[in-house]
Amino acid sequence: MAKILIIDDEPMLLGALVDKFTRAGFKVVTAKDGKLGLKSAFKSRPDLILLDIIMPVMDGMTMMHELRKDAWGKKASIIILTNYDTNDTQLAQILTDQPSYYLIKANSSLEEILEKVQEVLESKGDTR
Amino acid sequence: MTFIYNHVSTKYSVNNFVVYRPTMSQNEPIDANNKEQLIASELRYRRLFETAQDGVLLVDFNTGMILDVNPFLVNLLGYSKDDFLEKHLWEVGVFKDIAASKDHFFTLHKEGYVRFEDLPLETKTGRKINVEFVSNAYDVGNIKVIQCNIRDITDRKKVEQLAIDKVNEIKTRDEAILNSIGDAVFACDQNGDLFLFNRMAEEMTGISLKEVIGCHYSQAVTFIRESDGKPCNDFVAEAINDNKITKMTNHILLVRKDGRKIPIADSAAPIKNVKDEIVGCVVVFHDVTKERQIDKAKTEFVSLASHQLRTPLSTINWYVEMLLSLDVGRLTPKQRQYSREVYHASQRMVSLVNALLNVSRLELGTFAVEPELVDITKIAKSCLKDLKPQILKKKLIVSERYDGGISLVKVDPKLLAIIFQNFLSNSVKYTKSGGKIGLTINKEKDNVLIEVSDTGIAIPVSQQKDVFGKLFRADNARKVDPDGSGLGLYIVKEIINYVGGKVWFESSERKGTTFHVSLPLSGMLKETGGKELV
Repeated sequence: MAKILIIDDEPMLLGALVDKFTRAGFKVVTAKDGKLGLKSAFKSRPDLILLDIIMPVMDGMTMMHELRKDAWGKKASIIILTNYDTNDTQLAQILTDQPSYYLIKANSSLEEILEKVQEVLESKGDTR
Repeated sequence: MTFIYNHVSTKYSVNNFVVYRPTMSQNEPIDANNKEQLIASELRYRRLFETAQDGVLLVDFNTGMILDVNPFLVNLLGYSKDDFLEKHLWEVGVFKDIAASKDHFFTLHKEGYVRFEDLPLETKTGRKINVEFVSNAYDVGNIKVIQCNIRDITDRKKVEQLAIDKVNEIKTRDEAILNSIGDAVFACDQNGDLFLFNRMAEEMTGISLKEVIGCHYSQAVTFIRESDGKPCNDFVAEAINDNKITKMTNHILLVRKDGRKIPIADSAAPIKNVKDEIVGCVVVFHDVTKERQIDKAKTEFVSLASHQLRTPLSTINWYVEMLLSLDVGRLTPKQRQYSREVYHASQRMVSLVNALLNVSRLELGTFAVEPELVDITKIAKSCLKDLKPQILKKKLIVSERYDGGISLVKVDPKLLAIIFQNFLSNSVKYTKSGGKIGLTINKEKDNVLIEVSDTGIAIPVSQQKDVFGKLFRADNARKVDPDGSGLGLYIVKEIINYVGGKVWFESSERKGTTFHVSLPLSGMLKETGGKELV
């Protein structure tokens, strides 16, 4: 069973994602800000991280940057799941920190997100 | 009126008046023996002397004694004739500066001619006047005479001074205006040499007027492009050569004397004289640092606002999605119907938020145009493919025609996709079942021509002029699709304008609608903005 870490500060959205992915057969771990997310990531070493950007304490871009400094974190699969549009600074950071996808929550159905998650996990599995 | 006296003059005594009469000019010889003729001529000259509206003074060359003075001069100076006659020139109070008068007298002796363009005199009553004073010395038989012609130029001088004062007043006022303007202003002649550099220009550039006046403008002000730091002064030459008002393109920096760079916005206009010839160029510019900051704040605000709007929408979408996919149990038909309505409405809101985001980006001019070499046909075909389900459902007949001559064009694929998507989806939406849709891509001179036609419900003639307006929806369109945002065509038009293209259409109930887009083959101009359109 694959393990997913979902980091999002909106409880309603987090709830929907947890429900969907649990039902889809994933083990789901959550965190409500970047700092807690970082801790959880190192502790539980999920197969994939769904990462929001706008969060208190530590935002998603910073969290991703910090994660990439770690040896394991460098190779962790991350899908950014946010409602915030990219800007130049973010784009630049995305080029360096390399998440697998940048998805806009409002424009993506749960099914689509699920598909993308499975796609990333499968490609990861292939390289192993 | 003055006479030009020729060489010889004759002394006559007529009626006890002693007069000097100049000889006639060469053309009119007088028979000295014809006394009648002589007397007649004499009277003529005497009359002239007496009635002249300039002063005439006759002085003995050797003694400096005044021999005769005409009435005009007597009146002008307020003395009597006796005050003059048999006196030395410098004894008459009017030529106050005795030493100078004597000097001039001696100059006359030497040169035979003295002229004062503007001689200040004082009349007997103390009134100050200005005169033009010309003295000539010449021979009258064996006597040498000085003739002084005096013209009162007091009034003329007054008028001249008034004019000078007025000009200075206007000049001072104009300078005050220029120096009070909040914008930097400089002007150059047709060679580009500066003749105007106002206070704001001095402040903004850190260079003083003294340093730059007369220099070529390129030496005085340095403008560079923000993107690559290359110098950018062509707008001035362009204004002069092309006789039009030019604006510097966005993202220009002014490099101050101290090296600091300031973002500016400006315009250059040709200066024309009364004959409508171009005699120079005037440039106005101002610091846009603050505007840029505001723009940045606006962009960030829009992004943040859309984020806040999207969050509850995502919530609705996801929970309803799970309801509809029966994740949490079966639904009665009514429950399913209601859930669909909710989902539908929520999707509509999401579209609207995306469209609003694009609109604000377009209006702020902050979106990026990233041209690449693209196969336009490919993008068109891909958009059609996305619409396949609806096309099949409505049994629409699609005909495509692609001019083989067009291979790759430099365009931003995302923006091009938005253009195709919009026209094609509209055609599909507004054409009844069994109708026809046509897509043509052509090359015409330096442009790519795209045509999207349909046999649909057309745009009512009375509403055709509004169709590109923000949030506008034609009445018949509203009936077919109440959910449309009314922003699609607005966005498409803004994009097309932004990249230097044109868009137009024909629409009639009988034939349907055809939209035309013309894009320059030279490709879209690359613009570095902040964001991409969604």
